[in-house]
Amino acid sequence: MNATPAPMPAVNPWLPRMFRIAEIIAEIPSVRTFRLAPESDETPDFLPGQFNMVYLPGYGEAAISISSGSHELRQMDHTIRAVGDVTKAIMRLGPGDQVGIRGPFGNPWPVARLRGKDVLLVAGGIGLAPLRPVIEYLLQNRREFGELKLIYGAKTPEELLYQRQFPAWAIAGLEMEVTVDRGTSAWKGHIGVVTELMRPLHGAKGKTTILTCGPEIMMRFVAREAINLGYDAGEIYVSLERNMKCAMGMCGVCQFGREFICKDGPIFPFPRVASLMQLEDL
Amino acid sequence: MSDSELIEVIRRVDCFQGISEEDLQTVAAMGHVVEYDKSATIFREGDAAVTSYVVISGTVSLEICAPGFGCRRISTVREGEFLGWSPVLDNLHLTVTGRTVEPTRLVELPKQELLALCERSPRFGYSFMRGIAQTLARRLNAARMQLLNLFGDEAESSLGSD
Repeated sequence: MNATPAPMPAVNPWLPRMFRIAEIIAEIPSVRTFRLAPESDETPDFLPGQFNMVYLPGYGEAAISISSGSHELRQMDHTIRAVGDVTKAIMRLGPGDQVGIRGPFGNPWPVARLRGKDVLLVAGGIGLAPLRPVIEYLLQNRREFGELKLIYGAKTPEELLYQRQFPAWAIAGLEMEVTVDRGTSAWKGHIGVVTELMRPLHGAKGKTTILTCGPEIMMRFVAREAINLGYDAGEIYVSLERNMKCAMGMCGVCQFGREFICKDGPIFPFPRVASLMQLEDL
Repeated sequence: MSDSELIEVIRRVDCFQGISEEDLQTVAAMGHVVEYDKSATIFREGDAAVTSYVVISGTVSLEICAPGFGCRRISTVREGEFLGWSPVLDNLHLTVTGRTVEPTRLVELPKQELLALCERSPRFGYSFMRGIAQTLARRLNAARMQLLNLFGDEAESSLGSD
C-alpha cells in the first residue's frame, strides 16, 4: 500500500486473478475477515479506501472494500457481511479455498492531502472496514499528521468491529471514542450516536479533515453536525456504496447522478454528493 | 474543589457558554459538589424535578425502567455536560433514572436558584435557556438517529456486502 494516485492495473481488469483464502477471522456476528493470498507471484498493491470485485464461480461478484493495513504483505483482507447470494456463498468457504479478484478499483481516501493536518475519522458499524487501511497508514506515518481521532459507533458492544486492535491503535497515537445504540449492564462506555461525540478537535477546525464511512444516512448526519460545528464542508469525505457490476464505470449499474460510484468513488468530497445524498429515489 | 476550579468546570458546559463572569460566579456559588460510587442511583424516574447537575468527571447512564421490561440504558452523559433539563423547564417529575457507570463527581444546581437567577438577569436567562434548547435539540437529533436503526441489517452498507 502506498499513498500515490492509483495506477491503472497492469493486468486485464475484466479477468479475475485467483487468490487463496489464507485465514478467516470471525469478527462479529455474521461478519468475517477473509485474508487472501495470490496464487501467482504478484504482490497486491492498493490504496486505502479502494475495493476489489470478489468473484465466486457459479455465484458472481461482489464489491468488497480492502480492509487490511500495509503490514499484511502479499495478503489482502476483505471484511465481509453475509447479506446477498455472493457473500453468503463466500461465508461457506474455508481456508485453502479459492476466490477470484478483480481490482483494486476506485478513488481512495485523500491520504496525500492529510499530511500536516488533524484527521477525524467517524465510522459506523461495518463502515470501519474501509477506514482500517487509512487508520493503519496514518499510524504508521504518525509524525506526519496532527491530532488523530476515531469516533466509532455500533448497535451493541458485541458488534464493534476489530476490537482486538483498539489497544494497539491507542498506543500508536489514535484517540478513540466508542459508542453503542444499546448498552448492556456490563458496558461502561458511551450510549448514543456518533454525532453526540463530535466535538471540535483541539487543533484549528481549518486544519481538520473528516473521513466518514458507515450507513449513508449516518454520514449525512455526521456531515451536517460537522458543518454546524464549523468544520469546512470541503474537508469532509464520505465513502458511498451502490451495487456494482463492471467496477470501471462502463455498465452504469452504480451511477449516482453524474457520478459512477465505482470509478469516481467510492470516496467523494461531501460537497460533490451532498445534494444527491438527500434524494430519496436515487 | 476550589471556587475558581468550579467556575472553570461550569464555564466549559454548553449551556453556560457566553455568560458573564459575574453570573458564572453566581452559578458556581449555588453549586454543591457531590460524589457517587459506581452503580449508584442519583435520581429515579418520577422523582420531584428539583435539581439539575453538571458532570465534573465520570459517566451517568440515563435509563428507563419498567416491570417486565427491566432497565434500558438509553443514553449517557459525561464530563462537562449538563444533566437534568426537566427541573429548569418546570416539569414536575424527572423523566429518566440516572445511575453512575463509574465513580462520578457532579455539581448539584438547585432549580429554584437557577430560575431565580434567570429572573434577575434576563441576559443570563436568555443565554442559559438557549443553551438548554440547543442541548435538547442535539438529543432530539440523536434520538431520531437511534429511531432510524442505522445499524440494522437492511440499513447498513459499506462495501462489505452485496
